[in-house]
Amino acid sequence: MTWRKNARTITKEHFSDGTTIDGNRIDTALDDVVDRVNEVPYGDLRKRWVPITYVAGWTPQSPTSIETGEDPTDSVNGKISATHHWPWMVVRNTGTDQVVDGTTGSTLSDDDLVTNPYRAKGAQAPGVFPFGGATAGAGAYSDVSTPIGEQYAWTRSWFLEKPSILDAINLVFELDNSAAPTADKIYTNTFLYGTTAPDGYAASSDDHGLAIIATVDNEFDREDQNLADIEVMRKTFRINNDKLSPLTLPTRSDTGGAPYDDFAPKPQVNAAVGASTVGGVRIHLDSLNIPIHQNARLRVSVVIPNYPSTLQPCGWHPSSPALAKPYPWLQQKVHMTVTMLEEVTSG
Amino acid sequence: MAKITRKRLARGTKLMPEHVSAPLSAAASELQNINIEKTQMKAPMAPFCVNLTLPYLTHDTTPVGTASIPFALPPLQENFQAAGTYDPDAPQMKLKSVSFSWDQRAEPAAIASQFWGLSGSGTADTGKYGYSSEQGKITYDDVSKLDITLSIHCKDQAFFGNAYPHKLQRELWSTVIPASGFAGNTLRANPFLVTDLDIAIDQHKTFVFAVSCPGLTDTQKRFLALPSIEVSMKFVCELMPRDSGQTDVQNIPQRGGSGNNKWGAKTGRTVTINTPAAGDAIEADANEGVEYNVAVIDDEFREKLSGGYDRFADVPPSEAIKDDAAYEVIAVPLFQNAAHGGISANKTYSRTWPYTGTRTTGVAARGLFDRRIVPIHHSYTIHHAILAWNWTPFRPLGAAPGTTPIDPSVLDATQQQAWLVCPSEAIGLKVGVGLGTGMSGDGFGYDEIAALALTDPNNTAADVAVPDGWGTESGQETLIDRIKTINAVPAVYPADGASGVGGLRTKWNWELHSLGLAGSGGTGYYAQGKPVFTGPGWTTTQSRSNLGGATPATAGAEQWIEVRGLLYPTDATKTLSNTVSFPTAGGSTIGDYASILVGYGGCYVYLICKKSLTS
Repeated sequence: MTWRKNARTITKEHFSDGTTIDGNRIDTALDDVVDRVNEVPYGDLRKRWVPITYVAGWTPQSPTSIETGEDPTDSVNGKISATHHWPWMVVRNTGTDQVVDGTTGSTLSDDDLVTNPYRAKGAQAPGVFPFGGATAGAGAYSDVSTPIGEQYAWTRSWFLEKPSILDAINLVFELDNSAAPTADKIYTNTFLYGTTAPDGYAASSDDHGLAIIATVDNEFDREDQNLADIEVMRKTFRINNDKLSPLTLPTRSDTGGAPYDDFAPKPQVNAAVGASTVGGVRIHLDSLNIPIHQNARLRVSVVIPNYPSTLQPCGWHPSSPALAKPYPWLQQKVHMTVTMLEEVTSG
Repeated sequence: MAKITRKRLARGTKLMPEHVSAPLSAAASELQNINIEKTQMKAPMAPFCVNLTLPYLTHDTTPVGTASIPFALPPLQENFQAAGTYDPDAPQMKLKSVSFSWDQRAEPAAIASQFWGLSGSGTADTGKYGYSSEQGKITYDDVSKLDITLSIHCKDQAFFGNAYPHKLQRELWSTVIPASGFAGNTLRANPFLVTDLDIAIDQHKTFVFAVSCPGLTDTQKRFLALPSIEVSMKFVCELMPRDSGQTDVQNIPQRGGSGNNKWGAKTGRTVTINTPAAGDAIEADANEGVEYNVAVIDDEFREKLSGGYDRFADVPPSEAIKDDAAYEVIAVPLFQNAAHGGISANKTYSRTWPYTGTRTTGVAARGLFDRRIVPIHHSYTIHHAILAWNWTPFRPLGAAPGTTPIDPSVLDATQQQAWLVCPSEAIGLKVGVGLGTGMSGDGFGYDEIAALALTDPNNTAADVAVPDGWGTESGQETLIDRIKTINAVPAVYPADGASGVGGLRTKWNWELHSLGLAGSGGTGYYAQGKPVFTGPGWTTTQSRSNLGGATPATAGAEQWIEVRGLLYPTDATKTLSNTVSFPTAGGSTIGDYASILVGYGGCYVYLICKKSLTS
């Protein structure tokens, strides 16, 4: 008998030579067909996901507003000091210095209340030792527990009710064009180490201190970040390899090299706009295709270094303006987009 | 209705070929004619989220520890009726869940704000501007103060007739997360989720999400903050057909998977049922047999039904699904995370914003500029763009009402607050939305897809009882709504040149404006262009329909959406802080007043889109 295509999905009834072909069986088969066409299961859709976009970002306080010669404690004559570093906070939780002075846990004689000593799993950066480091002197070897440098994390979290797919994480650290007028070069992180680099890295070489992490809390011990599942981890990479554009773009769209099409309000073209053409670095973690289970608690963190003074000045800690040097969170504009995919639903 | 029916085979019925072939032909017709509608799907809806973010919330707000953000979910262009009537064909939507979170450093603790000033608690480094040395640190003792109220409200839109004072009208939903929810060692409600809300949405209304945490303030200056707030309101909306047509959709690919000149149109599959002739015997598996014909339909389902777009703005070669698109909102924040919560006109505050000069020397004509870069990975058709502009008052230095944190001889007491809506006629606002190409590429360029340009934020021409605002003047009509979300709304001095100072008028603290899409012929709150397609195309989909009447500069290779905002002095000889104000009593520039340039927490631009099923 020649091979014939048979129905496999839509009905269990089969009709072939040598079998009965009665009304009841036909009725069942046709019922199956009509039901399937009239109520298509979502599994029958070849594409059944839709994107959902989580956008965040800001322009931080201008580091040049921290004027040379000013003192953070000095408010005379309306002087400005750095005001806040939200939403960046120290990754290390352990240590009395991370608890507000005068509250429980801030002195060594208090009970240690810390539940997650280091909340960003696996995000250590070269040159930063949150729990200190051993040092070898001449004839002596000593254990040092004082943190060497710090890391600051910006963490976004969501409770995902339905099964989802983590599709993309895009981070842009926007910088001002190097050809912009001096007064308008505000955000200038070079993402380079300084003349003193972390062990294993050459002086003035590319910085590797940025980390991007996505974790899902453990299903059985949701608050223990040690047990969190790492879904995405990008760290110890050359940040400068991810330039936003490899081209030498002009500061404005109408002059200074090959012009490009632009839209209003146009950077630098209009006297009102001091910012220049977009530049900087972009870290695109695309097509991740990571399934996230239902009722998951997803946390996406960006971790930046706050290097010890021995590694300063460097890209994150520029020497000018001097008072801005301690603030790595002020050295670039921030844009982050997280894209998730979710299934169609019955409502 | 695309559902198919058939005649039942009652006992005793003489079996005829049409009993078998008719329903199978009807099924084939559904598939071949691309007529699988949402009513035929077990999952006829798709989720979309309004995702809001606040880098921090502390007690420097008015009222204390409260932030509110409005948004709108207008019908897409094909369903939009400017008269405010309802299109019966408009897809229905409802609110399903709310997720809320903030960063408490993975500890059962509260976070000290930049204003923490508890006497004797490490505040030696605290300047009078705040910047407490304890900022961002953990306080286990204070987590019990963090009762957080979340709520969603709605009101009629001014565009559809809502009048001053533009108050909220109805609370759709609210809940309180008790402080105990953040204090557990082994389980905390952070992120917090409420599901199964099933609240029907009226698309002609404005909605407001509000968060309130009064415990962020403290009489002992144990001030707290909620860093990195993330809100995700999930809605579901019925599926709908995707946009198509060279003249109906701007920037849409010319080619599709099935060939050239498709402009988003679909191509059906060939599904053939071999119908036996009248009087022929009904056979089992001959070419006209039952098995063969059922297998034809079965084949289509086994292959799965196609529709939607892939990641390269391309469509399948053949499709069966009619309703393969869904409603989408992309919420883009602007002017967030300012040094003092919002941006006030006094140079002490406004020049913390970049490019405006130094505190001592301002740059004339310079405005507050911000932009967001939103990389895209899927295809959307943008139907509306809406600006939510913020006039919410705040206290830049965190001082308690009636007190001044620094020497009033240095910074006037009134300047240490921000409650007056930009008292100047000489302020302009431009907001633009563009498509960008060139990330890691050897080309670079943009296309403008939406824009807004306004001047005179109070539109003041006379000393009238009811204040006005921008977006209502002839030629500048953009106003969708004005929203009063708090009792302590900002104020404004209506005045005219002849009669001088008028009395204070209470205003509203949020405004929604329509950014007109490029081009013409579209439908919306005001005249605008037709929907704009955006999708990162490849070779096949690089050729696009015109955008704004011209060949798109992004050449089908758009990689990101860019949103820009600029608030600037229209008198190019002035800075934002020394722009001439009204009234002149008590000072002559807006920097001398408690002037709000941008309200607490910044602004939003909402892109109201149609997205497609994808994989």
